[in-house]
Amino acid sequence: MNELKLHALTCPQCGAPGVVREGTRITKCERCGALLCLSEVSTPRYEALANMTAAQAAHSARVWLDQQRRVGMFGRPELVLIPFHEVSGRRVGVFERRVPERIRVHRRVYDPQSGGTKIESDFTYKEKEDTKVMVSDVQQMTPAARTPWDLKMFDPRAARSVARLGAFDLVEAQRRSTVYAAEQSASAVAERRFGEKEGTELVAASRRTIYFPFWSIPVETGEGSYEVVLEAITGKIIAWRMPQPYPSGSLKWAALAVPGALILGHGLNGLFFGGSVIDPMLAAGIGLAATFVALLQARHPDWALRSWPGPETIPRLERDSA
Amino acid sequence: MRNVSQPRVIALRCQACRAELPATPNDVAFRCPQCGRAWEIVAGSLEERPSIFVAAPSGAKHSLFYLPYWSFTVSVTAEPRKREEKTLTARDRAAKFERAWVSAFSINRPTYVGEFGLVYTRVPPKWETRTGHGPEAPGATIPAADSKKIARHYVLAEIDRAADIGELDIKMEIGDAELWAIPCYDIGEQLRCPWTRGELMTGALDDFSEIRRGRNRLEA
Repeated sequence: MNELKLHALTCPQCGAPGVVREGTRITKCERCGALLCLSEVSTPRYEALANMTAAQAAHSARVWLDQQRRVGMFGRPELVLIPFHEVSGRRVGVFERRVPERIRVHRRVYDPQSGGTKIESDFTYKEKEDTKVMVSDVQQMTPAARTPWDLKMFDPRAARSVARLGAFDLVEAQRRSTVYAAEQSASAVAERRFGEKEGTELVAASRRTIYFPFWSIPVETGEGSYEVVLEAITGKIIAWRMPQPYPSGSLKWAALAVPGALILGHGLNGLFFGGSVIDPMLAAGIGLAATFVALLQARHPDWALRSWPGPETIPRLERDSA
Repeated sequence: MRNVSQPRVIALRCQACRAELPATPNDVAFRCPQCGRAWEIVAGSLEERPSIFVAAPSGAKHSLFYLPYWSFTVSVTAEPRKREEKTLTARDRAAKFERAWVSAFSINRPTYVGEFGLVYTRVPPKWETRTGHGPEAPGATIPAADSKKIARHYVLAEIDRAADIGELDIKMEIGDAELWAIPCYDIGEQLRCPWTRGELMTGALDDFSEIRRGRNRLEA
């Protein structure tokens, strides 16, 4: 879908031929300068403009790496544009529903103190018919491309609310960034999510494809190649990739705990019951130390291949005050 | 040059005075900056709509920014099936509706950030309306037909606040769409209504930065 689709048009004012890129709705005639509007147009495309420069992104990643107590060499940050389909509009309708209605009921009950009766009030619920008028907003942001990292930490609606939108020019965007191709159409998403529902309809609907910017920064460390991915609007780290698979580190240390425990047991056996092959105090000391180190390290597993940061590890975006 | 097709093209010029109509990518209706007439794109051609603008409030302290609204005359009667206090209140409330407004510009989550059109429908401000050449206003991004449906539901929802509309026989007539330009104060991060004092975050308005840039360009 990232191929450059073009539409030919003829200016209705001067008859000059022209060509527009897919997604363009308003254009100018190159000969007479008239403003032209295309009546049938595919989903308009926008780019959410990045707030962070490459240097700011690298700085944020460096802060994060420092927090991880790792040292690494940063590669060139790469701007990545990932498409999201936004379907928004207003759902209106009138429909019947059943709602619980609270009713106060009074009961006459026996009062043992006075020997007579007293009135107690209580609430009871019964269902009643209600005609509901609905005027609500609908908004759906769906990733339109598959990425090498997970986007679970990225909140497109939050980013959308603070992002400035600009016109998306595929050719210009590809010059400065890697642009992911949209794998499904916005119409398909809209139909699947907001098709006709009983008694309601979607009005003032708009479909658009918004390309969100991310900085992907390669980091070379002694342990291997890392990749840190930042959202380029708010500066949050949304994903990272680590070289070491999750369980091996912990398993390594857990495996060390086994001989540690055996040596400790051997030492203790020698101390209390005699018959040790080596010095029981030394064996107990070595075993205790090995078991302690192994258990301590096992509590800090090595990084997963793909992970998401906890809130305390997300560095604050340091913007230029200017 | 694959996938070449020929879409229908309209020249965005006022059909009356031939002035160029200002447009951002999602606009479907426009107010002519020269003669003040309103035009909407319907089925690939421009159709004229009544155009009205609201005069600037006296003693305006901030710079004014006009926004487009669709407005409809409303005639509604709500006859209660059972004469109860709630249904009689609903009947009286319904009788008061004369006009409904719907914001014609795109707002991100209007129910959450606020919709001036709904506020004006609830309590119409006392403003002066004029026709003819007036202020410049950005184009409308919501078609009149959709706005008419929204206006109908605004009125129904207001009546439903007083009593369940299932207990009323409602007859409603909604007139043709008129494109209104209503001013608000542009105070940086917010737009403030001079009459209701309601505020709207500028970030919630789509294409707002583009509209503002266009206005600044014109002023320069």
